[in-house]
Amino acid sequence: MADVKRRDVLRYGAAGAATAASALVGAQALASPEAPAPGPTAKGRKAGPDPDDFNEVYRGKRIRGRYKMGVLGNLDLGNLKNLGADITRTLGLARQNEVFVNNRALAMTAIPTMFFPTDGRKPYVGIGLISAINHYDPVELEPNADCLRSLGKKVVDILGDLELSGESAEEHTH
Amino acid sequence: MAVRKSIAAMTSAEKTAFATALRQLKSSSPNGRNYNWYIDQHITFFNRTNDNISHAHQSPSFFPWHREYLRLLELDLQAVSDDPDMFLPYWDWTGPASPFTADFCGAVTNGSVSRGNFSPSWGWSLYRSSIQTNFLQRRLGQAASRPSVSTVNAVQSYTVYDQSPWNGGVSNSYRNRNEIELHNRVHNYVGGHMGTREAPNDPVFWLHHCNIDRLWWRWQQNRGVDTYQPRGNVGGVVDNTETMQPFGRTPASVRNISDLGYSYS
Repeated sequence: MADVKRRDVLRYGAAGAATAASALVGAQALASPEAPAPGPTAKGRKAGPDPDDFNEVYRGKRIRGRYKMGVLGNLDLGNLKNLGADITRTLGLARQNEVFVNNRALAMTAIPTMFFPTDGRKPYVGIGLISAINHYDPVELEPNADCLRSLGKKVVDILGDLELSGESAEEHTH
Repeated sequence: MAVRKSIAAMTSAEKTAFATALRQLKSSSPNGRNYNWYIDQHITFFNRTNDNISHAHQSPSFFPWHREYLRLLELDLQAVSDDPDMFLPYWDWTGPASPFTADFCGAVTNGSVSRGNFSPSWGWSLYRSSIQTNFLQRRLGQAASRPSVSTVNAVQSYTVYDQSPWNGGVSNSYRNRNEIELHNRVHNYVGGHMGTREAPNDPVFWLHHCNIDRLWWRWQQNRGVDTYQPRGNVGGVVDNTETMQPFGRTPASVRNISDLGYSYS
């Protein structure tokens, strides 16, 4: 049995795992008044004037993003081993996050997954962020924008000298 | 009856015939499906579809969905090549044989397949690429290493096919261990387009998944052919006798490869 990674900064009751997706959407609105209303799809978004949580150049490409995890930010990773279909659906809420690489949008979604550290730690269950580019190589969800920054850097590493196409902005839910 | 061989055992003529058939399928639809149809299905059913099920990945139907997916492609390659013995080869990534050669799946120069087999000049066009390029991309070994024999053996030793919560977060599950530790890892080892949701743009996709199917078949031979879980009454996933989209077939109907018309040598 894999260890389940726990983070002190992520707290959530077991009730969350049994809450329907629609209810969680409502809870998100109540708990996160600063969260923006659902906007257009990532494909329809343009690089706007909104403040970024990070905006930097990595290997010659500008990566920037905004962290809007909403209800995901309240999840207790200690309960992930019990994730069922309802909570799996809510992971799609993570698509409200934004990452741009050279001003090209990268749609992403969140999945429950196992991580296999190469540093000797035991495998554990967590939430991973995937996009069209890192579809089989999730970046672990963190309670801040660092995970989006890591995702942006991973994508740049994969792209090399190339750029994202419009397909990378197509939303998807798992 | 197709006999699927290791790429290590293929003749030069068999490699050429396989590559040529894939290229022919780009521009013809012998059974109403062309090559890009397969890329469309992979993108569509990687997603959770409107029936609230992830048919192809991160769910119990990962193995049977791809078994049927590969079987259809094999039938189409047989049709387009007019060769009823045409087979999908498997790439045992624990061994030394490489598919990344100029006479087979294409050689890589600076991350691109820019000349020879599976290059644009040879007649291979990308479809729905999330990377803006005309050239097939690979990043061999950049993001992951290939699984070792010991890793494969450890995965094959799991005795439970799958269990709740039936997703990517279940640890005691042969399906999930194989999907993440072997299947995902090799996608990431190849990298480039193989790491994207439109991974079937790379012909190596089929060789890799053929090996995954072979490993599942070997597991079935040890644990039982009729071992798919869940058997029924589980929402959000494909039960043993529910149909997998878009194929209209059930996991139960694809459990025995002898009934599907192929075997592994």
